[in-house]
Amino acid sequence: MTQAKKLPDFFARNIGSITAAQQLKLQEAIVTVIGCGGLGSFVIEELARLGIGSLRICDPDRFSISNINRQLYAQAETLGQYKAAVAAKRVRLLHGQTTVLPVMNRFQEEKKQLLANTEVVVDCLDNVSSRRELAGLCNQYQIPLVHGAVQQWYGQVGVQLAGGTLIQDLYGSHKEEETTAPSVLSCTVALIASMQVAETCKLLLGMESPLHNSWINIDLQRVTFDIIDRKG
Amino acid sequence: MDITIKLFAYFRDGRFKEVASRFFDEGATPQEVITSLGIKMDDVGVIMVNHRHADPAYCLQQDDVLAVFPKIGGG
Repeated sequence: MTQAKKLPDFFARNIGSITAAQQLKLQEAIVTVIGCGGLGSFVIEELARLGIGSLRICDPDRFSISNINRQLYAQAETLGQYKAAVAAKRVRLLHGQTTVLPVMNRFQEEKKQLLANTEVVVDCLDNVSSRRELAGLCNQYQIPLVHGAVQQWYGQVGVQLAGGTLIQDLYGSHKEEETTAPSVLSCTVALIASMQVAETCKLLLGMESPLHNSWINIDLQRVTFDIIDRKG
Repeated sequence: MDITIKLFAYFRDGRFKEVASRFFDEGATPQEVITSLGIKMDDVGVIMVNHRHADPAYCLQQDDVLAVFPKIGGG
């Protein structure tokens, strides 16, 4: 009876895929999402619907018209508004079971409030240099990082466990920042974001994944899903 | 020597997904193979030879499998 009391009906249809005890664990979890644009908006939406208890979400940017093709919370009436603030408002409208802390600043300036005591960080950034900085911070704080990146019809998802080198391995030879924003389709974004949420859920529940310290490369044009088999 | 080349994501556009065998001179490097395909090294994120991360200057061997991944950074 006590357990039934603690499990809101909002999440009844999660049970079966996960147990009631696991659902309660998600409701006690703290997850940080860095970037509230394409990937971030879908990740935030799905984490809230999964029943994550506490979300810390960060993005210094405001919505512009070119965001509308792929960013869930970008619409005519939110143009010019802070992405993190709009996302937080959306989460609060869903079910009231997820507390959300929006940070409208660069994550580098708000490290402590974003990363202290968080269980998983989700990388929804849009540039390589910031991703490398975030990966370094996650290792400093000993937090696993769920990485996702998209371009055109292509995407990748991987999990850097605490102390891992995945991001360094993916972008190690990177020298200079790309100057033009890449083309990205909403279907690519939604798929990669959903996979990031699945990996986040599994990390919170202590489940194994072939993407731990590795990654999957996805090609939606040719419909190939390649889990990268790394031997060192 | 014969090298198997696997390309990923947008590197496949206008090229191929996998070439089972392509001939290169002894001592060829991943960088030489990659540039011979018209791919800019600045666009390359990961190079793997036989499932292991490899340097662009690695000395390829007969029957090596070279996998080349672009940098994907968008969000």
